[in-house]
Amino acid sequence: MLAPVSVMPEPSFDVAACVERVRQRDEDAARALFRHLYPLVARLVRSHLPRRTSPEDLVQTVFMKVFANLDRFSGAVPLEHWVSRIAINTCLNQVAAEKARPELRWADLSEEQTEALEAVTAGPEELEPLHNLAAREIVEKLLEQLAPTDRLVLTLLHLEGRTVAEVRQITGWNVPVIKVRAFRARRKLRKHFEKLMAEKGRN
Amino acid sequence: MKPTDQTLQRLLQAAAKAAPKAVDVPPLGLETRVLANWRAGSRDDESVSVFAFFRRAAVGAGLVLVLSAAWSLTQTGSGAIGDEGAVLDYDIQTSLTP
Repeated sequence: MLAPVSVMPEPSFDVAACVERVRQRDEDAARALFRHLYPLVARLVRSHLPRRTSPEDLVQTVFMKVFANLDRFSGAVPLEHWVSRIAINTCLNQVAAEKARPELRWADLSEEQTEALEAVTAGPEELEPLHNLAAREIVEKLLEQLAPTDRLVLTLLHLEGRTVAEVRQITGWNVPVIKVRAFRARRKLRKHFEKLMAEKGRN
Repeated sequence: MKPTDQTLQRLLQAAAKAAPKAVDVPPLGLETRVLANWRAGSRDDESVSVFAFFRRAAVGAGLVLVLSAAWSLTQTGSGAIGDEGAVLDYDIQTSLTP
């Protein structure tokens, strides 16, 4: 039976001491570190998941990298930020490896997705939870058509609601780079969205 | 703001509200696999450190070999000069002796 793991850092969990014990090959410490970091890594991988890769495989790859490079962790930044960068870069590399980016067609949308789009177009009213979920699926499909870095910056800013400072901590990019990338990515996303909406007009 | 921008903005806002569920517990077997990889990595590290030890030992032995060869050459060289000097001394002495 696994011990419960919380998303927020536990106050009693001493990250520095645990990392030190893992460096000395303490297996209990390695297990504790895995359980402490799992919710963070799983959430990041799910948010930036490449289409053809299973989240479990990618989480495993991320942890292999984390443990292999733990000796290089200087402690200059919080461990969670360092692990986030590894997770994000692993996802980006995987997304980049999947070269094919299928175009989203109106005919590919499910009934709920069509309704969600129509509701969004109709006015600023709040959508039902089911339509929110459908909107998420549409946005994810639209994002799949973008380059990995464009997809990342829009996911972090618009879907996860992170601030530019948080994006900077996670990605290591500087603020002007983030702003320029976000602007260009939004423009590309809008083009794909306009294309989709033009198809709706023809149907 | 263009109508398309507004619609896209609303779509993004709606999508943000449907955040994926938090996953707190790893799937069965994942922890075991990760820790097994970590243990295997530790063994690799040990083999790497043994290899590094042998490499350092080989470099050290090579250095000792070069130094002793150099010292040996120096000794041989000074001996040769000493022998020549002795021969010259002998020649001088025999030439001076009546």
